[in-house]
Amino acid sequence: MQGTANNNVANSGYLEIISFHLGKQVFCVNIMSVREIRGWAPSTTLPHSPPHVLGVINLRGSVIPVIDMAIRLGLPAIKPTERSAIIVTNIAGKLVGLLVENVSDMITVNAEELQPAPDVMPAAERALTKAIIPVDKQMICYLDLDALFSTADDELAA
Amino acid sequence: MLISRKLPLAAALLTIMSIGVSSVVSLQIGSSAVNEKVVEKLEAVVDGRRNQLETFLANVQQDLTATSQNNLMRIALEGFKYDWGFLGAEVTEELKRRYITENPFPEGERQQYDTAQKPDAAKVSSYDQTHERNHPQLREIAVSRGWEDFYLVDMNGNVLYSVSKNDDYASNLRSDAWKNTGLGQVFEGIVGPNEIEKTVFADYAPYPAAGGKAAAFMGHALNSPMGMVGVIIIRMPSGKIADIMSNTAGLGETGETVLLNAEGYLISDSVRTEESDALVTSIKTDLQADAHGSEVVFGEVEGYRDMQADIAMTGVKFDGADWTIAAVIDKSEAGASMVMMRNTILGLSLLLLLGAMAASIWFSRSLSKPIEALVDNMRRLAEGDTTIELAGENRKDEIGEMVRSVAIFRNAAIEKVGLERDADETRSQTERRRQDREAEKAAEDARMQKAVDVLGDALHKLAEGDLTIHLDTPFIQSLDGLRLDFNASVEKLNATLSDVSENILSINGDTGELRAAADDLSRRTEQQAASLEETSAALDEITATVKSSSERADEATSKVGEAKQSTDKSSKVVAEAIDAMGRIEAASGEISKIINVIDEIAFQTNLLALNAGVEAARAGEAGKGFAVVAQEVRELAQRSATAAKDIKGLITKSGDEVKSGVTLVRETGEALGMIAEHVSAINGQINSIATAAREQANGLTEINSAVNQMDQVTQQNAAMVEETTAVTHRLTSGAASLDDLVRQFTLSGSRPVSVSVQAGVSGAAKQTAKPGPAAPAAKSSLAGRAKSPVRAIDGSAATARPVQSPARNMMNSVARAFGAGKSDNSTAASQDDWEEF
Repeated sequence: MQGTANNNVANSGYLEIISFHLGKQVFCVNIMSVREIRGWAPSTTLPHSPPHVLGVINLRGSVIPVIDMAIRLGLPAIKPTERSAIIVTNIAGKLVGLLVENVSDMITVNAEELQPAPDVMPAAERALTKAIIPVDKQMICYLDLDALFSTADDELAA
Repeated sequence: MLISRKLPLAAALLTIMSIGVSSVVSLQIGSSAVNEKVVEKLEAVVDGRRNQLETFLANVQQDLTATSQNNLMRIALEGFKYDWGFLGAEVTEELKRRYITENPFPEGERQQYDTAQKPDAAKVSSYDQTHERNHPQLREIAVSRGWEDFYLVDMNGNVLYSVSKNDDYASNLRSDAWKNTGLGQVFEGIVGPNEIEKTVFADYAPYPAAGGKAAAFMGHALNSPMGMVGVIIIRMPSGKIADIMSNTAGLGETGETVLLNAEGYLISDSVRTEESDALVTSIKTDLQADAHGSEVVFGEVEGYRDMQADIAMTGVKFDGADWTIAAVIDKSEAGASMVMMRNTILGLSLLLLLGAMAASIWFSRSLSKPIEALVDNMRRLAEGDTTIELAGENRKDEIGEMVRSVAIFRNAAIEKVGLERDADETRSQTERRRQDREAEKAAEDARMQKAVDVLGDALHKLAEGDLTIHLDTPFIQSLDGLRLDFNASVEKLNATLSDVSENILSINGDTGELRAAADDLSRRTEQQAASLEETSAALDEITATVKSSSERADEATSKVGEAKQSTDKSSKVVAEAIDAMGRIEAASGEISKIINVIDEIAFQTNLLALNAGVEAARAGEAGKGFAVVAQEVRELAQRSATAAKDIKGLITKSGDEVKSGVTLVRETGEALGMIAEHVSAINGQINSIATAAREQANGLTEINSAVNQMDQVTQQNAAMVEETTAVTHRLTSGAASLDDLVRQFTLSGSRPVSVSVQAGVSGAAKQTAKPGPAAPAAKSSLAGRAKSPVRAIDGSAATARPVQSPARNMMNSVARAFGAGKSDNSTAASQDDWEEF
């Protein structure tokens, strides 16, 4: 996937992203890793799961986990409303639902606009942020889903 | 004859008559009642016995009929008849030997013998066996029914069986010996006419088999399905009939009831006799011929049991027998109670008679004795003896009244004598006194005549106006007072007329003043009338003003009412406005819901468009166009979401506006309520103003009428003033004529009576101010009086003192002169009020 995204960027010089809000901040993921976007539905809680794993939902017969992105990213937990959305992503061949506050836009950006994240953050945290994209007056944080998933996986294993 | 003999004789005669008649009548009534009682009793007893007997006979008949239908009888008869044939030719002798001659029981108890079969006998007779089998039952039936005997007879007349085993047992009823007995008659009565349903009866007749005693029989056919097979006969239970007849309850010591056959012989034995009477004794009477029906006949019979008896009879009808029941009782016993009653009544009458006679003699003696004494006394009184003693004055009856009347006569006689003596004395005294009085009266008359003459002369002079006369010669004592009074009167008249002429002077003066005052009064009255007219006009104007203000107040009230109605309508409008606002709010809520739906749809569309975009991106180059469409759709969705949000905001805002509008409208309603209240208050105020205005109008009307009244009064006053002026003129002329009158008298003391009367107005005041110059020689009283007007004019010092009225003064002096006549200078002391004008 990473490769595909990179290829996408490399090939065309353009990158398509889905941006969403968490609190006041805007994040985005590569559109190619997104399988679909659905409205929020209550999830079934799993016992002894970490705080950012909300539980599992039924997506047309297959059970997929849902992760609260705000907690995962160290932000205050968001309260799911009817306007919240779950972005179903395909990360390393697994379907994972990401609970976000509001899907705001589908944007096509030039690869040149991608700027690396500054070095002030710890390495583990920095690994989650692939780049920062300035769009208009907003700063969109481009998330590396593979890293997010691997770390989450580690935490789940822990 | 004297009353003292007449009274007891009459009383005794009356008593004897009344008691005798009542005794005879009560005896008559009593005897007839007793007779009726005897008759009723006998009739009732006879009727009772008849009913009892008929019931009993009917029972016997029924028993027999029932027994004849009993199967046992037929079986027994068949058995006996069968066995009868085995007893050979001498069957009668054989059976009589077995059951009568060889019967171990004596005659009368032969029925106890059950069978003639000897236990040890070798030969067995079937008759005996049949007898042994049936006899106890048949005997039981006969005994229980009371039958004297009971027979079973075959069609040939053979008595196959009898209970009592008398001579008739085993005989043939068609034989000569039995043919004519009751038993034979019954048998023939049934078998002859083949009577199979009814009973047949033979009346009582002497019966050889019963030792010649009376016996009656009754029989009934014994029927089988093939027809009559035999006859069952009973001898009637005479004992039970005798029991019924021997009941003598309620019949005293000689009474009884007996049953007679058609010839009058007794059928049952009489209980009153020792010997047997059945068919021996008889009662011969013609009554029996009448007693055939159920009617009860009553009569007398002689000879039965050697007595004279009352008898009641009635017929008993039973199956051909013609019987009569009779109840007899000795007449002496029936009448015993009557004899006792007669004796009692006679004894009582005698006692009553003696008592009544004694009482009447005593009573009439008590009346006649005082009457005799009184008659004696009256005779003596008529002869003039008033010393009689009267007894019984305290009695309450008529004799007492008579005695008291005689006492009054006696007292009147005594009084009359005393009165005659008194009258004689009185008459002589009166005569003496009358003569004395006549002598005195003659002397008196002479003296009186002289005095009258002198007085007549003096009066004559007085009539001519001479007031100088004086009577000096004394009259007789009784008339001397007259002389003194005359002198005093003349003197008084003299003085009075002097005063009168004085007073006329002052009246003249006063009249002038009076006229001036009347003129003044007239002028002031005119002024007052003018003022009153002005006042009245002013009042009319005020009244009009008040009326118009009252009308204004009424108008204001109606306006206020309209304003109140308007405010009421406004409050309704306010309420409706609040309702409308509420509806707007509700509609806004609905719109909000719809907007939410639209928002939701926009959100979903947005999600779909995103997904489409995702799909398009994944499709790469091929999805480019689709990505654009998805983008457009997303934008539309976002716009509709934005629009929905805006509308939502607007709706919320309008909701707020509506709320504030509701508040404002409510406040408006409250303000309107306040206005309505104020309007009501104003209405009240205006109403009170209107009321006050009306009251003012009323007050003004009253004032108006008062002013009118004042006007009238003023008019009347003016008229009065005119009258007063006229009266003043008349007064002046009156004073002049008065003076003329006074001048007719010749007064002693040589004072000429002359007063110049001034009629002029101006001179009147002057005349009043100074005392009359024409009276210089006035007496001290006149001088004192002349001062009084001066004192009145003096002013403040004398204001409290009433002014003397000259006219009144004059009148007073006249009054005094003709009144008490004891005070000569009373005019000086007189201080009468002068306030009249």
